[in-house]
Amino acid sequence: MEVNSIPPVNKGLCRGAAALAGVTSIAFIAGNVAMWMVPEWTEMVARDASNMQTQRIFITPLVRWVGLGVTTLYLGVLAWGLLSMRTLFQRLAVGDVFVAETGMLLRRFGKALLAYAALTPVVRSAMALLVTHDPVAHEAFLSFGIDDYEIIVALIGVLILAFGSVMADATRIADESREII
Amino acid sequence: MTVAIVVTLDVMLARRKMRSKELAERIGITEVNVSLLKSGRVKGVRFETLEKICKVLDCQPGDILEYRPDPGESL
Repeated sequence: MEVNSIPPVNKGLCRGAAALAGVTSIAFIAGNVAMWMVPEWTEMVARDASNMQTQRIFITPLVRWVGLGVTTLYLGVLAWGLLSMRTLFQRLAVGDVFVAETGMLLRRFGKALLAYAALTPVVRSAMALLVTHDPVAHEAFLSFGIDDYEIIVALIGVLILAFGSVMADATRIADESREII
Repeated sequence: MTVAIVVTLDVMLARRKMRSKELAERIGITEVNVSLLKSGRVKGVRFETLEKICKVLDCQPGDILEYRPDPGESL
């Protein structure tokens, strides 16, 4: 495939992706808060976050607030990455391809994905301890495991980090090229 | 870092009694780029551009580029 046959950045698609990334980041956080705050949904989110589908869980006000705080912080990492992606798509939509910020934003999104993948098993274990803690018997379940989902997300994060570095290098070359007459 | 290559295009333009604007038009680059080239605020010159300048000004690359080493500097 010749380099010339690669189409330029689709600006309309970038604008759409920027909007989607922004809405998704807000939806993640708002959805999580709603799930923990609405009593009918709390059990569902607690079981989902802890991967304790059949065990007995205990939702006390303390569990609700701690669960909300931990999962919001954890999802905040992903939301931060998505907001970086939104800014990146906005830059691409206005034609700012080879500028220093694109490499930096790509690397930031890669770091966010990597951190999210690394935090997922830790948060799941912490949530399992939290929601299965029996306030009377003082017993709790502890489980730890890594899903293939986390491995894939981590690998994509590393790939995007690498592409961020490549982009930063390409920007430097483009800058140099602009100074050659 | 001081660049030891000095662009003496302004001297050659004066010898040929040609203005930057005319040179820019004849070699097909912007007047701004000719100005940047004259002041030496560029990282390099393409062979293609150099060839056009030499053709229009009827000179050699050595007539518009000069190597002036820093006396105190070594490789």
